[in-house]
Amino acid sequence: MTLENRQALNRFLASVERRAFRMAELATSSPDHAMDIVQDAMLALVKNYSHKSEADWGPLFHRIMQSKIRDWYRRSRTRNSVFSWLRTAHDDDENDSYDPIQQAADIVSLAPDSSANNEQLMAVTLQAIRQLPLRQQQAFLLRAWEGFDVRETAKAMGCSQGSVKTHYSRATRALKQTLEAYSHE
Amino acid sequence: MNDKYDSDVNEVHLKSVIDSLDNSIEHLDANTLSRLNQARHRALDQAGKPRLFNSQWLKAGAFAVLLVTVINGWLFISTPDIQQMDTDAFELVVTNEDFELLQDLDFVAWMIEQEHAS
Repeated sequence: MTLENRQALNRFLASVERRAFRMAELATSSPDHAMDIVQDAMLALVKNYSHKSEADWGPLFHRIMQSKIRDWYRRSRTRNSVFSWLRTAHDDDENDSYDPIQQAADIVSLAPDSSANNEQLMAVTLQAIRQLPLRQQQAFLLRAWEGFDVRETAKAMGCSQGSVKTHYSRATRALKQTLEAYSHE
Repeated sequence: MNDKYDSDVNEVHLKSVIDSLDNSIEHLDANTLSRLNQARHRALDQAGKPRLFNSQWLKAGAFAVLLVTVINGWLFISTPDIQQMDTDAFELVVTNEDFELLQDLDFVAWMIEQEHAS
């Protein structure tokens, strides 16, 4: 790999790493798992696609990211189903009182001039996205945040364009309801 | 009219969500940023290292395996005549019918002589 190529890759990865981390964190609710996913995706892109043109890196990186997130999700579900029988009644009681907003890791340090309202709105919004089903979450983040069109989103998610439209529509409806409920409080 | 109102409301909510997402990555804590930086450099360092199985060696290996399989298959298909012959000879030796045939050779020879004579 040439120095120029390395520099270009460095620039590209630096430009996408924060968003990628946030997407993975929203999907996994775990900063550590999110970091692992981002690192794996970076490695996969650099190892396998560094020779491709820079224009291809974005779609490829997001395709790898979504694939890694799906893999993590499947493994997580399998692990949960296998070990669910080990949980005791005591654990169940604890889970009943589990509040994801309270337990969410504090990985955002707000600037001193941020208003409390903005901070609260951001927390509510992130939590609302976290609670979306994975496919809706992916469709929404890729379409609305990354600015992908339906075709690009479908390619990154490995599904049909019709599915993307359905997931995106349901996601925006759910988020709208959550935010309206929040604004009426 | 209602559609336009709904669309405007959706736009407002969408902008609010996007702003929140943008804010959330603007203010990632120092530890997370440092780990992302390290992850990026680790990935870039890997790019310089030769891959254990690069695609050319992988293709060459796959071709070699295919070639060996084809040759084995060809040899297997081309040898059954010999195997069949050996089996026939073995059957000729061990089956009772063939022993009886060998014992009646004199009778067969006599029949051939009769045919020539007639």
